[in-house]
Amino acid sequence: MRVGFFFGEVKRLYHDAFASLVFIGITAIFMSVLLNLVIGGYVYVGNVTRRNSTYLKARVYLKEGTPQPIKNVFSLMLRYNPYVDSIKFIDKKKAKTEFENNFPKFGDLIKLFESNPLPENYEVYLNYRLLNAKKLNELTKDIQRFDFVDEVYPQGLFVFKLYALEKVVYFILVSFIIIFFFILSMITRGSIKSSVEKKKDLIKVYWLLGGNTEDLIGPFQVAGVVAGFIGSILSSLIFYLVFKFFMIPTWMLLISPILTVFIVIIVIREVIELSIN
Amino acid sequence: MKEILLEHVYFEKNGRTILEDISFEVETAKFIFLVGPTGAGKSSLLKLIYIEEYPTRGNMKVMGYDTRKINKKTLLVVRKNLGIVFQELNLLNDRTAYDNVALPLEIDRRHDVGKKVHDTLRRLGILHKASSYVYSLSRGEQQKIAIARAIVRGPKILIADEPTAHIYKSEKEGIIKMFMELNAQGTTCIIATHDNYIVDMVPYATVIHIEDGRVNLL
Repeated sequence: MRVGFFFGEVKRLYHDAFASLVFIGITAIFMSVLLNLVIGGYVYVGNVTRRNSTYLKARVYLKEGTPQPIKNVFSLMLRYNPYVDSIKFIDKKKAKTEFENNFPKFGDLIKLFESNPLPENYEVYLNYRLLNAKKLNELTKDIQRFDFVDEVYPQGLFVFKLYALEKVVYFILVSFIIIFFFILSMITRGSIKSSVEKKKDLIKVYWLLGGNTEDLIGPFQVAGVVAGFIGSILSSLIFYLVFKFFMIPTWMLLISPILTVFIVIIVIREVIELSIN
Repeated sequence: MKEILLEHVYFEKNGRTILEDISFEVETAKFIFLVGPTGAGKSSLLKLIYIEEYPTRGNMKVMGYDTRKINKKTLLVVRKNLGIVFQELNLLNDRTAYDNVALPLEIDRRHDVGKKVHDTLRRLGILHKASSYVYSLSRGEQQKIAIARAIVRGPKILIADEPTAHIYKSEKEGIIKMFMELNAQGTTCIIATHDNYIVDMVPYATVIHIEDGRVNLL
């Protein structure tokens, strides 16, 4: 089929099946708006969780006079614990600086003591993806068992809630992608079926004159893809500034147009092949 | 070379036997008339030849291909070598005469579409109707468009179902002469008709008489 003729057929389809194609476009807008919302929500919650993940840590205070070899072994133990991302050793000097920075008004309090009373400690950064509140409690108890450990204080437990929210939004996203596929393919199928019905004469003549399936499907696919793509890209344009504002990667706005094009191409092929056979 | 071969072909539709034990063969560049009363099975036989329908039983070959075993790809190749004038014309009413005649050439991705279409329409005396929409034409003019669409490709086999049914007697001669010219150039012509006037115009044609789904070679 020559290019001019091919696009002539596409133009005819827009003329003859305008309502069906507009319907595909409108469906694509609505579905893409919802999909972009869910994608944006998922990425945003994920970003917030990651940004706050450093708050999830445990302070492990050591008893006074813990020997260096024990500290070395303990560091290694913590470092190789699967729930631990990284550790930071705070010696007495750093602990003092930290205290003075955190409580500038009470910095002089330390001078009342003969020697620095602040204990050596570890800042243990934890992996929020592997841990949960129950496991953290067990980990705390495990560390607490050591004689040279004075106290263990877990911090930033709210990160677990953020991660749970991220998982819920992820579940919604996956469900929504399935729903997106289903609804868009059903509506495209219905719309294209009615267009094919209108073009029944053309399909029959085409087929009897030796036109191949690709030539028949091509114009329908282009018309459907253009309608669906315009719809979904419109929704993506609406979300462009929103994604920028919430620092969500804008390339993610291409997901819904790509999915739409993919669905429309497959569904149209299926409907026309069925109608030919 | 045998262009079409039928051996004990039966065709049934909706539980009714339409063609019964049909056997004949058509050599390349032969001129065949299928004659018989309405409902005799002429159109069904043509549908078997242009492979819109398939025989229920028997052996049938078109251009050397067994129509019951033909695959999609080969079917397209065969159909591209056929020129078909359908009884119900099957024209696209929302398109111009030009667009209808150009369709087979567009399917073939030909680059000389305009020239070919104009030549064919001129040959049939309807060039002035090229830009008219099919629905606005008379039945006779529509019939000519259907003939133009069938011959524009220069087919190897021309299959026409009542091609002169709605054409004035004065114009029938021109159309049959055109078919004879194509035949002289090597096209096999198979024309179904119940019009003895056109059958008499081709003295060298083989006439196959069909009645109640059975064939008599005359």
